[in-house]
Amino acid sequence: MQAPPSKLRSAALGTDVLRSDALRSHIETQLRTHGDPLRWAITKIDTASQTAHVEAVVTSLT
Amino acid sequence: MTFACQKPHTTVLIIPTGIGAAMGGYAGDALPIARTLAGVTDRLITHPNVLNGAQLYWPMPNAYYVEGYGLDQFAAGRWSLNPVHQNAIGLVIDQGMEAELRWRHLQAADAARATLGLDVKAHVVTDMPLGVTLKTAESGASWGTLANPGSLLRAAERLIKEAKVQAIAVVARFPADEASEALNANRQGNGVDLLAGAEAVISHLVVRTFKIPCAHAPALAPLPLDTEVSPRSAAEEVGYTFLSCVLAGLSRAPQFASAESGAKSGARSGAIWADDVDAVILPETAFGGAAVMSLAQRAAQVIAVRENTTAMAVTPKDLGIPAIAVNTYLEAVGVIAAYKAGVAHSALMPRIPPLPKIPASRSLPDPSFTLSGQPL
Repeated sequence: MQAPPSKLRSAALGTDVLRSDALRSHIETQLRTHGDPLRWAITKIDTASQTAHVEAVVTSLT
Repeated sequence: MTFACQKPHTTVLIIPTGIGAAMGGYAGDALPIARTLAGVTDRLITHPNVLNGAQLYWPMPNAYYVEGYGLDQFAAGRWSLNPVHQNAIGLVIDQGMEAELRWRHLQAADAARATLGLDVKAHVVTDMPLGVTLKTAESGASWGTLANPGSLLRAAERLIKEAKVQAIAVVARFPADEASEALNANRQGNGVDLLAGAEAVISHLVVRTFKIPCAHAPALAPLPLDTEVSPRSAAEEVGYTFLSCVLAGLSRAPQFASAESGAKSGARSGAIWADDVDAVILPETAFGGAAVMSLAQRAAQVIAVRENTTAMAVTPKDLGIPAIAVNTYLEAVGVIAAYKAGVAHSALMPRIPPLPKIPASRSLPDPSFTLSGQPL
C-alpha cells in the first residue's frame, strides 16, 4: 500500500463527517460544561451553517 | 420462530415522548405497534411512553420496559439490561397532591397488588411538594422542572433502603389548566403532550441517581366529559389514575448493570448489551436523540418511519446515518421479518438490479493477485 494515511481514510470512509456516536459523545462533552446532562436531543440541523441545534436539560448542584 | 442455534433477534423501538409524534404521542397509542413488532422479533426493547396506556397495558413476555435515561445508557454501551422474574416496587407520592387524589392512587396500587399480584411493597409521601412546572422548548417539544427535586430523590432513597425495592413508581401532581388550548388539542389527537417532557425529567432523575427502573404517572384532577376525545387519547379518559400501566411495566422491567461493575464476559446470563441489537426503529424526523445516535453504528438495520411525523426536524440523512426508509410501521415489520428470515429485503422488490461492482480507487492501486497470492 502506497497511499498516505489521510488519503486512505477518506477513501475508506468517503467523508469527514463525524459518525453519529462520536457526535453524541461530543455533544455530551459540551453539555457537561453546563451541568450534568439529563435529557437532550438535536432538534434541527441548519445545513447552510452546518449547525446542530440541541435542546437539553442539565442539572447542577446548588 | 427462533431455533436454539440462532441468535435471538433484538429490536429497539423508540418513539420519544413530548415531541408530538403522530403515533405514540398520546395515550399509549403506540402499544399496537409494539405488540405487532413483538410478534416478529425475539426481544423488543422499548420505553414507557410506548407501553403505558394509563389504565390500559398489554403484558408481552418478550418486551423490555426500559426508561428513557436507561435506554440512552444502554444504547451507549455503558449499561446492560438484565431480565428479571419480578421487581419489588416502591411508590413515591407527591406531597403536593390533594387527599382524594392520593387515595385514588393508593387504591390503584392496592388493586395492582390484589388483582394482578404485583409486589408493590410500600409508599412514601415526599417531604415537600415536588412543584412540577410545565415548559415548551423552542422546537415545540415539552419539558419541565421540579421546584424540589431533592425531595423526589430522598423519597426514592427511603424506599430503596428501607423497603428494599428494585423499581420506583412516581406519582407527581401536575398542573392542568382545563381551559388550556394545548391540553384540549392533545385530547383531540393533535399537538404535543404538554406533560410528557416533565414526566421524562422526573423518571430520568431517579434512574440516573439510583440506576434502577423508574416510571412516572401524572396525577391530574378529573377532566370534564369531552365527546370529541380522539381514540388515540381515549385511554386517559378511563379511570382516576394513570398508575396501573406503570406498575405493570415496572413489575418486570429489566435491571441495569454498568459496564464498570462487571466485565461483559462476566455479566449475568441473559444480559442484553447494545451490541446485541439487530434493529432500531424511529420516526423519520426524530433521529437527533442520544439512543439512536449510539445504536446507528451498531445495529444491522436502522429503520426510519415516514408517516410517524413529529415536531422534530432531524432525519437520518442529516446525520449521515444509513437508514432504511419506510412509509409505515407495517413496512417496518416486514423489513424485520425479512432480516430475521435471512432474506435481503431488496430481494422482495419487483426490480432487482445486477450485482454492483465496487470500482477501483483512484488513489490506491487495483489489488490484483496471482494464484500464489503475490501482488502483480
